[in-house]
Amino acid sequence: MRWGHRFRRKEVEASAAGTLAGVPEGADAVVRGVAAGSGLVQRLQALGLTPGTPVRVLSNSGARPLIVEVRGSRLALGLGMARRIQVEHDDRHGPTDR
Amino acid sequence: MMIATALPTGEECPTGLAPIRVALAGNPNVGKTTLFNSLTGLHQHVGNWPGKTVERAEGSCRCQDRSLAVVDLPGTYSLTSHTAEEVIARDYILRERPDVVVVVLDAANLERNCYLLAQVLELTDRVVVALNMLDLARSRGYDISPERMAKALGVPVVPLVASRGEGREELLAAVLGVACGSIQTHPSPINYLQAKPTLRELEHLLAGRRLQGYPASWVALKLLEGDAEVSRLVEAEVRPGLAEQIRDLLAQHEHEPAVLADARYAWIAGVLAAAMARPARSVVTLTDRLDHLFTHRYLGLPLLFAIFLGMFAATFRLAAPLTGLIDYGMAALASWTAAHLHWAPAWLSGLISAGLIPGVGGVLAFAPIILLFFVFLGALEESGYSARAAFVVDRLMHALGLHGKAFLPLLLGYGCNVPGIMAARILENRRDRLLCILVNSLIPCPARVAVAAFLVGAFFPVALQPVIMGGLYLLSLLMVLAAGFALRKLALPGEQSPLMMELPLYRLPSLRNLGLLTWWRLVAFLRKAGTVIVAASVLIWALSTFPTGHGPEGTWLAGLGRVLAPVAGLIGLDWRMAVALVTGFVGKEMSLAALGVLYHADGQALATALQHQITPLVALVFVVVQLLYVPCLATVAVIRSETGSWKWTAVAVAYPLLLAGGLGALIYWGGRALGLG
Repeated sequence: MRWGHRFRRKEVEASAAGTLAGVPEGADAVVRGVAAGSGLVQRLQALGLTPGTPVRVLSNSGARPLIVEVRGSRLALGLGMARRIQVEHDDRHGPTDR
Repeated sequence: MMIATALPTGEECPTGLAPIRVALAGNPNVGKTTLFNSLTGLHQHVGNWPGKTVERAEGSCRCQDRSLAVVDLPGTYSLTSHTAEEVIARDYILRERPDVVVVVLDAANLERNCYLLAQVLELTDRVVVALNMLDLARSRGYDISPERMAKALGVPVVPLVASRGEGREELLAAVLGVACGSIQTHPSPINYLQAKPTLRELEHLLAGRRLQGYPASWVALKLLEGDAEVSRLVEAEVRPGLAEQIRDLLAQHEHEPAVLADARYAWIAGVLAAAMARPARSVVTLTDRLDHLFTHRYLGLPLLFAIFLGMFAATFRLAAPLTGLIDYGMAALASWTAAHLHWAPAWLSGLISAGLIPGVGGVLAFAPIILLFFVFLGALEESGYSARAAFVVDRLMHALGLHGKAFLPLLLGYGCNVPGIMAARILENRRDRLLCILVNSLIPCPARVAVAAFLVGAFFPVALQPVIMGGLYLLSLLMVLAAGFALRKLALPGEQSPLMMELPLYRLPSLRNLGLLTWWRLVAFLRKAGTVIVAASVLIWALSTFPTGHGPEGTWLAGLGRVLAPVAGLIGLDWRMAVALVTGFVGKEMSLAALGVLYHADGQALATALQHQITPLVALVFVVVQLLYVPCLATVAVIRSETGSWKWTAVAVAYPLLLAGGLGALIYWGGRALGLG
């Protein structure tokens, strides 16, 4: 399994596409939906993450939780969580602030 | 100061009636506790909500000859039923029906804060908004008008700087006005759009049912949201046919829960459009600059370790003289009592000077360390750093099946298991909290390490000592990981809950908040653990004293040691060491004192005496066993009160005991097989 690591990484990247986890640092995106049970969905709603909400990714190293700015507040979201949040993100512009 | 609606004249409220009941609601980190302290001063009491490990703060204050009873509800982001805090807050508002609910909002984070306000207004219209940290909001470029906000909301809005006590009187006047009816509130309604027909239909189905006192309109909202608790309530209260009808209705409209959240945010947008102007460009703030440093990819972790190392060093440096003073004072008191009780029978003077006083001393000796830890912990929490710490270590904590917030409770365990276990409250769900508490039992506190250091110093060459001590820490860490893994597989299955937390703005902690918080936590600890420790100290004293006249070998404790000897013998320990382990249960450092009594020696002489009696292998077995075997009595008392369950308390005592025994056997028989000892 010499290539195991590299393979897994690719897999992760694939699953990150189209989700918040795939949005690079400094870029903006718009939430489209959340693939989770109603409990998690409601917690996210209370923190301001509802479909249609613009978010800015302040930190995304691919290995640590993300820091995002939502409705004027700052949230830390675990990678697992970020992969369940579907977003629309125009990556042609790439990161804006770096 | 401006107040957004007409002030009451004060005469409309009759005096001398029952106190006006006020509840404070708000998100975490909005200065709610600061406001509570500024309102009630020292007229407060902090305990727990019945049956919950959530702090309940109550207090009283006076305004215009009326007395007000203020309850500080737990900080929450919403009023669903996912955490104990949320259930407490909403049940209090719904069932206790306070005269006024003050919703505290962080003006610098208004949009998200208003989500809770929207949910409170779904429950009651007797609401006053306290708009806190307006100064901070201005520094971020937000221009907010409390008057326009009050008009848009339909409830009074009072600007506050809670940390300086500004706006206190105006807030109290508004509260009084709403309570007495001189201010009429007309909350602007939330438009639920597409969900409206469904809500109406649900309300119609529920009309006339008992619903345990909850209003039908609110129950309808919560049913549509899929609230587990309300669904259970309805299933229990209505006849099966109707329940089925409701289920069918909900199944047809399963996409509507999201509409409710959207409707609330749309309502918020409407309010804010009227009351707030946003800056054209976001301003770079202190929080941005500090976050750049504290959450830095490479610097984050070293900074974290530096901060916590500093905290530990300061705690022990500052606590040592205080603990020394308490020890000295208690020893002096004990000998003074012994000298002045010569007229009393020996057992009575012994009970007081050798049982009771050292017991109380043992409890008090805990106080400085726990006090300082609470102060530092409170400061980290209030300043906003602890959320950053959780972010930085999140990935490391995955190894334990926990997320970043569990770091602080575990780390504190290395200072003292008691505050560590009490800090596990910050975790949202019960599985995480239990897991965190249970593995905390294995974390070696300084008292355990001190015993280990003494024996390692006595038995091993100087060059080897740091290696062995380091190895012991590593061993305990491995055991924590192994226990975390095993507990997750066997006792606490369930998915790892994802990290999802706010990173609040950085701010200076308020000394007043810290002081009050620390005081109440310390009182809670002393009350819970104190009695248990004193009782156990007296018991150990009695066991180690009676029957008199046969020396230390003739006491009940020694008898107990001999009963345990065959078991202890399996891992190479003699009856004296078994006794030392039993006494160590009361306080880990007491196991050394017990060895001293049983080997008739102290300090260096004890080291020499032990060297003649046991082999280094046996000493190592003892060190490892005492490092892991059971949490001390104070810790057990706190585990009991934090878990609220004897079953989990028993698990927290039993599994480290088995683990320690197993490891002891492994080392002893492994060592023997290798020809050591």
